This record gives sequence, structure tokens and C-alpha cells, in this order.
Amino acid sequence: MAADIKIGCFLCRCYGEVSRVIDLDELQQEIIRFPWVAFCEIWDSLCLLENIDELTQKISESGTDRILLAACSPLARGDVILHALERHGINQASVELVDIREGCAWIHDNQPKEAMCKARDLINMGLSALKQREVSENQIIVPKREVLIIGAGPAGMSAAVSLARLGFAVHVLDRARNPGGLLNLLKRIAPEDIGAEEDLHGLHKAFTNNALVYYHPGARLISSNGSVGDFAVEFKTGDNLHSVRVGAVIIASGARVMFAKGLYRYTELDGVVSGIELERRFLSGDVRADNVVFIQCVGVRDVNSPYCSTICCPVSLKHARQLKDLNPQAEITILHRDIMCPGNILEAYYRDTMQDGVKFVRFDLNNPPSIVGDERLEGVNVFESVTGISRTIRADLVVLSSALVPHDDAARIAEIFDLALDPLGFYQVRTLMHPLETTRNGIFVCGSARWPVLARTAIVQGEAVAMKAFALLSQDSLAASGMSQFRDRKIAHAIVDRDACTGCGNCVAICPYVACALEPENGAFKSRVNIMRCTGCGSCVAVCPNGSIQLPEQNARVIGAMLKNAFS
Amino acid sequence: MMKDLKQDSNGVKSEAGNTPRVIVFACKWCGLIGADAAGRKHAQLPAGFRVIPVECASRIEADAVIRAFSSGIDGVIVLGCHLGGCRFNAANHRTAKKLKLLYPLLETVGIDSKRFLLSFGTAHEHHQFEDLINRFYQGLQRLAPMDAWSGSYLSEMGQR
Repeated sequence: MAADIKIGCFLCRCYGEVSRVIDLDELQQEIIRFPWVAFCEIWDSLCLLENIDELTQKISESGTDRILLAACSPLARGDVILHALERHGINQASVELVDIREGCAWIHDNQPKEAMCKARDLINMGLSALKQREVSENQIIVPKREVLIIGAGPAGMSAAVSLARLGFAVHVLDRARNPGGLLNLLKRIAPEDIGAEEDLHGLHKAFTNNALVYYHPGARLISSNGSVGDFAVEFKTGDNLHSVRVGAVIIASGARVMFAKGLYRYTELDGVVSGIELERRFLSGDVRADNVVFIQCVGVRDVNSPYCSTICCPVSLKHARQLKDLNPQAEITILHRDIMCPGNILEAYYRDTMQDGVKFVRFDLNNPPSIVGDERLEGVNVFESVTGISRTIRADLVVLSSALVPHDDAARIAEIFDLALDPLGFYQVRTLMHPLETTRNGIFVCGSARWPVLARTAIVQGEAVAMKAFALLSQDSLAASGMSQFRDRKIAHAIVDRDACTGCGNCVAICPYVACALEPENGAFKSRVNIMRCTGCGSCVAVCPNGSIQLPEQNARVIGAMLKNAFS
Repeated sequence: MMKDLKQDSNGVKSEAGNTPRVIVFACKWCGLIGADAAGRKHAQLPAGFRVIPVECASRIEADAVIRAFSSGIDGVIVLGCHLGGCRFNAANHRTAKKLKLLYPLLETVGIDSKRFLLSFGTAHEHHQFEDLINRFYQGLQRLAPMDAWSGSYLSEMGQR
């Protein structure tokens, strides 16, 4: 503990809310006796914004470097004070907010003696924490005004076009030669029932004739380095190695169509095709069928893949309507477990399809339909779960609706960027309010890479994710202390004592943000923290065997001092 | 450490009666929100607990808990977000596993494992926080004060 630390204290009466339970004058007398306390004042209210000027003036005149505010909880008005002080140039790290209103006066107001004792202890804990506290160093970078987009499907294209419109250069990588992704395989898109080419035309034009969009067809990712605001990414097209420096990465790598091998005698009988094969037939114009049976939920919504791929119901409805357009006399039956068409547009689409004479038959998971016919497809036997009757429907074409499954490349891309995948293999997004953000700062995900979506939703998500990247990169500078997703400022970022570090790698293994890395130094390995990635959660502190990694604002000595002063 | 506590007590302990002394490590995204909400509701709680806010429950090392007990504190509560809802990419999963190992360890040295409560996602609302504190206190009241244990333990250590 530095001997010359002087702490300024402000106690808040909160217009009597605190002082009717706790005798602040007595506390003031006690606090002022401590040699490390420069002054102690009692205010009626600290949080009123008109008082902030006076408060900051007082702090800067007094020359104290640490401030203790005994007021309300940070969730009530405490954060207001902290943010106002921050705006006046007082670092939040040098301020300790002690909650004596919600945490003391209000919950113990029928036992004033104990409340007084608790308030004294809480202030003591705050003072001792301030004495031991160190301040994390900050790092400020200027974000690169370029974005890397992986995948040139509808989501990736719309993100690229939106960002280019905002003046950002975009690098778009795709395995294929032509942009468009899975849409290139479709004749029509659901539920708009317009041609895929026609629908994509505008987007396609804006994408290909754009000076700010650099399209790299046939690209393969090699490696990535760096953190939010400045990623260095390497990729290959053919034999050429490219490297780009970008501020943010958008993953729009899409999903893959499931290959239903071994299900419903697919690949054994000619008449059994997958939805995507039917698309191909529509494109080549070679569809002739009078009796068609669709089977839904193929390979999904079971024990092994417990998710709904969401697109297959609208897609089967679309196919049924296309077949009806070609041959209005065709008998079309859709065998389903539930028709998943949420929202007004899809619901209307479903109703319309029903009106067109398409029949819907429900089966259940335990009694799936079976294909009838030895050499040649004859029909489908289905146990109708509504009536409990088993019957055979004549069919000359059976379509297994094509579910989307995670892309083969998802695992590789996730490894290159250190991202987490969910148990199904789609990219994991942040919990609660961040549906387009992956587990790492500055890397976003949209379209079917995140979750299977229809083309229109993918386009919307692409635009949304472009706004996310824009909000991040349009800032003049990014500060390490501001890179928390959850509030304006993070508490601290971890720092390693390089002399004490033994290079065991515990912190590297536990860090949920891949911020710690081992680096060789003088023939040994030492841990180093990338503070732009660090969020200050403190996982590493808890696993360090000798305490050489610490959060300066809440280091082991702070916790120790708080424990020691918790009960006077 | 025990001596320090006794010397500093200024008779406060006798004033406060025999309320067990409890440290609550509360994650800012769950436990602290519950504590704050309980405060806003003016819930009446035993006055013997002190909350230490941390960014994430994963910050709490076993060492901090042991240090609390060895300085004569009667009970320790660690509150985190529910498993799967951690704001820090599931950082609390490993904490849940790690701190669970403390239970047998505490029992081995003679500290009743009821004195240590590890709880995830159970204190997000005011009534949950109240219930948790009240129930923990009910459990503690059946046990002898921790002074006895740490006093004898520390003096034993001193004799060696």
C-alpha cells in the first residue's frame, strides 16, 4: 500500500433516506480520524446532475487521487454519478461506490444499531479496497475501416452492400465462383413466390459493380490474428496468399443441405428425391408427376438433431404450389409432424396452399411413414396420428424435405477465429440481448450460419449485422477499457506479473475470450493478456497458482483487505 | 488475524448480538441485482452479511473462501448467474465445478459444509435473494459460532 494515498469521502444522506437509519455525522467523525482520509463530507444528494459540477470541482481542488462515495447501489443512481464523473474526466477506476442505501439502510431499517455497524464496515471495506487498488493501463487503437465477410450468400451480400454504401471497404470470401450461395440452386424463393434470379438481381448488381466490394471467389481461410478493431486475416485464392487487416469480421458462411442417406430409402429408389433435387428438376424444367408426397422433418427434430430447421415447411409449401402451377390436377400430400409457419406472411402462405387443394396429413415421431414398393416406388404408408388409421397413399414421386445442417466449414472457421459452436454445430451467439454477436468481440454472425433462415430473413440479418459493424468501426478510436459489451466500461483487464509467471497455461485454458496466450521469453513461456480481448471477468485470476495474474482494480489484496475489514 | 478482529471489535460484536457473520460474493449480473432489488423492496434481512461485488463469479478463487473462514467468518455465499446464462461465455461453469470441490475439503478440516453456499441463478430477484439469505441464516443458527473453530485451530497452529 502506498503511504501517501489520500482518499476523499462523500457520504450521501439521500434526503434522509440514509440518514434516518444511519447516523452519518457519527460515521463522519470516525472516518475523518483515519490518516489516509483527506476529508469527509456529507451531502444531501450526490446524484443530482446539477451537483456534479460542484462535486468534480471539489475533487480536483482537493488533490486527492481516490474517491469513496457512500451512496446508493450502482444499479439505482450510483452509475449515474460514476458516468457523470467519467464525463468530467475522473477515472471510474479511482472511485469506489459503497452501497449504504439499498444494501444497508433500507434492508435493516428496523435494526438501526446493526445497520450503523454494517455501514461502518462497508465504508471500511471500501476504504481498504481503495488503498490496495491499482489502475489498469488502457490501450487505445484506431479501428481499421475495413470489414471481412465470409460467405457471399444473401446474408453476406446484403451485409457487403450495406457496408459499402456506408463507405467501408469490404472483402468478401467465398468458396464458390459466383456470389449467391444456396440461392443459385433455387428457381423460386419462398414465401414471395418470385424467381430467385429476379429477386437477387438488384442485390447482385449492387454487389458486383461496387468499387468498395472486393470479392475473392474460391478463397480458403488460412489464419487469423488480432482482436476487435484490428484483425489480421490470411486467406488463399488458388496459390496466392492474401492478407488483409480489418476492423471487424462478419461470418455469413451459411448452412449445408442435409444428405438424407439411409432415410426413407433415399438413393435406393428412383422416385424418392430430396427437396434440393426437386429444385434442380424445376430449374431444368423436367418435372412430371401426378401423385406427389412430401415428407417433412427428415433427419431433424429427433433425438440426434433436436432442432427445427425452420425453412423446410415453407420450402415444401413452395414446391407444392410450383407443382400445382404446372399441373393443377396433381394430387399433392404433405406428411408433417407440425407445420412450422410462424408470422402473418407464412401463415397466409400456408392457408393459401391449403386452399389450392394440397392435403396435409400429420404423423408422429414414433410412427414415421414408410415407403411402399420393391423395385419401383408405389406409395407411402402413413399412420395418421389424428385419426389413428394407417393407410397407403399412392405416389410416383416422394420428396424428402431438405433440412439445413451446419456447414462443413463451420468447425474450421470457428477454430481459426476461436469461436464457440453450440451443441448442434451452429455458431454460438452471446446470451440475452446480442443475437448477432459471436462469443468474441468484433466478430458477428448472420444468416444460416447462425440458424437456418429463409432468404429474405438472411438479407435482413445481413443488413442488421452491417449496422452492428458500422456502430463499432465508425468510432474514432476504441479503448480497451470500453470494450465490454455490457456497459460503458469494464472494471479492469487482467495483467500478468512477468517475473512471477511460471507459464503453466491455466489462464490460457480457462479464458473464455481467448485473451491469454503463452509467449516465449528468456527461454521460458510467460503468459500475456491481450487487453482488447479481455473483459475483466477474472476467471484467470481464480486459477492462477501463484497469483501472478491479477485484475489491478480488484486484486487479491483488495479482496483480502475487504475480508479483513468486513466485520469490525 | 483472529486477534486483530477481537481487538478491533470495540464492543460492536456484543451490540450486534450473535448474528452470524456472512460474506456474500455476488456477481454483478445476478446476485448483486437480487441484493439491490431486495433493498428497493425494503426487505428486512439479518444485518450480519456483507456483500462483495465481483464482475463474475468466476473471479472467486477457493483461496478467498478459505481466507474468509480462517478469519473467523461464519458463512460464505457465492452467487453467480444461472448455468448457461453467464455473461462471460460460460465462465461460471468451471467455477461451479471448481468451487464444489471445497465442500469435502471444508468438511475434512471440520468446517460444516452448510457454512458454504454456492448458488447459481437463484438470487436474481428480490424474493429469491431474501429467501436465500434467510434460509442460510437459519442453517447457520444451528451451528456454533466460527470463532470457536478458528480460535482453537489457530492456537493449535501456534503451539506447533
